[in-house]
Amino acid sequence: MRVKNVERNLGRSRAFYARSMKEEGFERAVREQKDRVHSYAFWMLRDRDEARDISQEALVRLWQHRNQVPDEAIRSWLLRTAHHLCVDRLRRRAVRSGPSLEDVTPMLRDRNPGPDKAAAAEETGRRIGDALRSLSSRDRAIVLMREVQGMAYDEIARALDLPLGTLKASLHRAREKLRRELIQAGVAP
Amino acid sequence: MSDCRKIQDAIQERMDAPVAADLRQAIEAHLRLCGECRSYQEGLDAVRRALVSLPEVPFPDEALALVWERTIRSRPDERHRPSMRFDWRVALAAAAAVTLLFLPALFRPVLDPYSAAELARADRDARRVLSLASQTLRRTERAAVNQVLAGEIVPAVRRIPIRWPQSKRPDSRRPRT
Repeated sequence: MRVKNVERNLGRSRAFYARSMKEEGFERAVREQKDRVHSYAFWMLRDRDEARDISQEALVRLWQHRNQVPDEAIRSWLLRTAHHLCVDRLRRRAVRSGPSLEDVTPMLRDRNPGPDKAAAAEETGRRIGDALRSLSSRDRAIVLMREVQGMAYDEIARALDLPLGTLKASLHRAREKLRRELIQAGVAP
Repeated sequence: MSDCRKIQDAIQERMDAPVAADLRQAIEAHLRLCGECRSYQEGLDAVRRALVSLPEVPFPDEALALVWERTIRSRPDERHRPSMRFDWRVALAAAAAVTLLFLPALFRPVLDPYSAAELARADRDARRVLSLASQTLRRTERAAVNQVLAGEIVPAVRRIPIRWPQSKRPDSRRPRT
């Protein structure tokens, strides 16, 4: 009987320990990925409230699926979830302009912003943001995942359910369109 | 123009991954001669620089607090509540346990707790005890009769029926008063 009690208590301790590790891993993942997910949602939607809601929802879903998501896939899983949520929002809402850069500027992270540097970053951010809005939601997602988030092609292909060839063609097309937009805006030569 | 299109595609390929040495040399040779493709590459580089410098938008602290509330700081009984889905294996095990528990009670009237040998021995012992008790009673009765006949004791209640032996009737020994 005593042996059984010890085994039972040991089992409980193991379960508690495993649960604690899950919680600890989740908390670390959230702290590492929250800004990345929020930035992605923001630049997809250009809407502060919607980006916040979508990021929250993606992080809560990660908690709900924490037993199915391996550690090495957390980033792509979160971005894919955020992407699907963004697409849902874009489908539901009518095309409307996002917040002005004045709304965005206080949220931007710049650790040592001098006046000139801040103004230049603000101008570049506004123009590239406007250029991104000229892309389709799928091309915008590809550009953000590849150029901003630094994801590998196969990772993006899995996240967006796209063939690799289609993905590369879309990325090339999106770059060219951005180049033309930035030339018009005077940012690119 | 056709060469430029191919070179521009190759420039994009080179942006994505390292290309073969001969293709890289062909691109460099073309760029030295073609201003349009040089401009194309500079434009793509500017796009990439602009995207990389796209400012990160930090997740608000109050939103993070809500995430904690909905996840690791939610009530433990809600987080770790066991599933209430019907599990036929659990139900089957419970039914088997209950059956095993009450099975002896169902068959108790049928099952005899004593063996045949034990019953025979008990019967024998009971008969012996009854026999001894009967002998003792008869001896006691005979002794009492003898004492009455000898006049050693007088029965307190005369209505006590005494089975007098024929040879020892009181009438034959002394007259009745």
